[in-house]
Amino acid sequence: MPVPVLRPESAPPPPSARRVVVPLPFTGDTVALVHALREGHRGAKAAFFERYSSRVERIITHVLGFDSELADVVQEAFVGALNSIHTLQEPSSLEAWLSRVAALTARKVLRSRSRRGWLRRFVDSHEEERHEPVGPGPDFEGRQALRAVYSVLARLSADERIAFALRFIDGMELTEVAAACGVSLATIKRRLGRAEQRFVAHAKNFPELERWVNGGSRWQGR
Amino acid sequence: MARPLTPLGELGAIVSQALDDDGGARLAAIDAARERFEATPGGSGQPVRRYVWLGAALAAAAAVLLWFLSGERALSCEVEGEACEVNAPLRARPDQALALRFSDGSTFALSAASSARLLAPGATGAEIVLDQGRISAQVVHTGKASWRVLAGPFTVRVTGTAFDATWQPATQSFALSVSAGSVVVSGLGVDRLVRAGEQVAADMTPQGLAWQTRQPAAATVSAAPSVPAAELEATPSTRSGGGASSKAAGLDGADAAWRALAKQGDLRGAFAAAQARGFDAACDAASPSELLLLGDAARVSGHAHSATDALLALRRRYPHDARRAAAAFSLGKVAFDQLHDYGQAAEWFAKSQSEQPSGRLAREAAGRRIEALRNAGHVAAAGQAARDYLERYPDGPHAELARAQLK
Repeated sequence: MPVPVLRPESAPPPPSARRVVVPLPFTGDTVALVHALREGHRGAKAAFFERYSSRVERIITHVLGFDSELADVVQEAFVGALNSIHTLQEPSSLEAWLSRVAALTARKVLRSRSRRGWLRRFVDSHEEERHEPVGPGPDFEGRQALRAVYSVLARLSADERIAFALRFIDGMELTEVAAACGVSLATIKRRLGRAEQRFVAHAKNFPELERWVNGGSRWQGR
Repeated sequence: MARPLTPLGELGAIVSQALDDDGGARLAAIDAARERFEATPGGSGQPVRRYVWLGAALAAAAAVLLWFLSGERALSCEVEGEACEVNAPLRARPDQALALRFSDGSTFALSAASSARLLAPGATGAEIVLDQGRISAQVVHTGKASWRVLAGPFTVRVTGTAFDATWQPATQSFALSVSAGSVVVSGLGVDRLVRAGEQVAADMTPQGLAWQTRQPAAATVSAAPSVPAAELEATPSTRSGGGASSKAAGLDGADAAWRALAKQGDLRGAFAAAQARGFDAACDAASPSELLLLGDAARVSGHAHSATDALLALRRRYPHDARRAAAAFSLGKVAFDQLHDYGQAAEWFAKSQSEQPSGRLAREAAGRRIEALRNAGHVAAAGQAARDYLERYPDGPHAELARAQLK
């Protein structure tokens, strides 16, 4: 079997290509990071974003879908987290706490949009356009499903949408979903049950989702 | 993490994967959020102490007293018939402009889908932060008017004029077009006068600030009839010749069109717009995050070779950029899904993993590499990749595939 050969890349960069501003490095563990954030260590702020931005962005994107205001929402989540970092009682649980902040920020966005009727109508239709399938190809089926799923999720309440997205799209465990939503395990099971029922009921109007909703699936892994 | 083994769990995995296909736009959003977050002042997280509030209250009371004594009243501002709130986000509807009307007759119109905030209204003007999009200003000349529009790192100082300013944080692009009077634009060491009929554009790249000025066009400025409309001046040290000229062409809106479509997630539309403008020229003028977007746009539009060109351009031109790993991942997807060159796909997925072993695409790259090696017929390597995957991601979305590979 021949060894695959990559297309060539170029020569090393000129010195001028180096970035001018380099944030102070912060190499401490999670607990040290929380203490440094509370003390306003500038390098800690950069490390905080670097370590957790992917996680926060994924949660927000999974709840909202691809959103043209994604940068605003991610920034809002981090600013909110930084301003309330003193309320974090257990520094070692920073990631779980931050997941809750991300979910709460997404919830705030959903509620803010739904309060304004005209905007909600727009967002719903725009959500479909954002996830418009891009034509035949390997991604076609996935993008069709993507568009339909967020059209259905727009018909759920903010709390149900978040629970559903974290469980089924993000793949969180039930206990993690409960923690991110700030409710008990029993409550999140009930909420997910309702969310799933409503999702399936609305999804039956979308032929793209037929193969997943016909058969009345029940969530598992309790 | 593990999704439930139900049809809805399977659907969720497909949706998550489809969202990952917008990786370029999402990375650009993270970059924009990072820069804004790091520019956010304060944020120590310390609870504010009571005496600080007391001091702030006293200072506010003194400011109010001074304001009454001075006899000067801050301009008022209305949006859609309601008073503007200081520092509250003002977002134009995606299909409609939003006008800020000041009591001195000046207006600032936000274009559709743009957002801004009103800061520090004073007696002779105000500061307006253009968070994203485009703002068109008509400032009444009073002899002492003092307005500022803050767009990213740039400040436009105005006394009495009409202009359009555009700021795209995702692409770090700034543009200004002055139709009457003059303004001073400053930022990042630049401080220059822009007169009526002139357009300027600036992009921040890892190499520095790329800055172009377009001179008054003959059609609009009779004083300069001999200057061709397309004659542009570029900062020579920041771009190669082709890049500069193609960037300048972007002032005509060609780049703005594909960027706007990409920002909305319409990658197919973005690719069509980039093709209409000239795909190679768009690549020449693109920043790293834009190259990633162009690559994704070409890939989902089924143009594998254009996608490869854009992604390789990113890796070639920005050898220290963190987005190289994402470009490698996308190159792997192009090779796998569209060129069916599984050996090369495996190499790209491995490269993506090795460049950012803890990156957001690392798990997916590890999984896709198993598939690529298996399809390429590299059975032993696929087995090793499967073992590595299970060790690191025992509950990952490719765990079942990895176990099947080891049977």
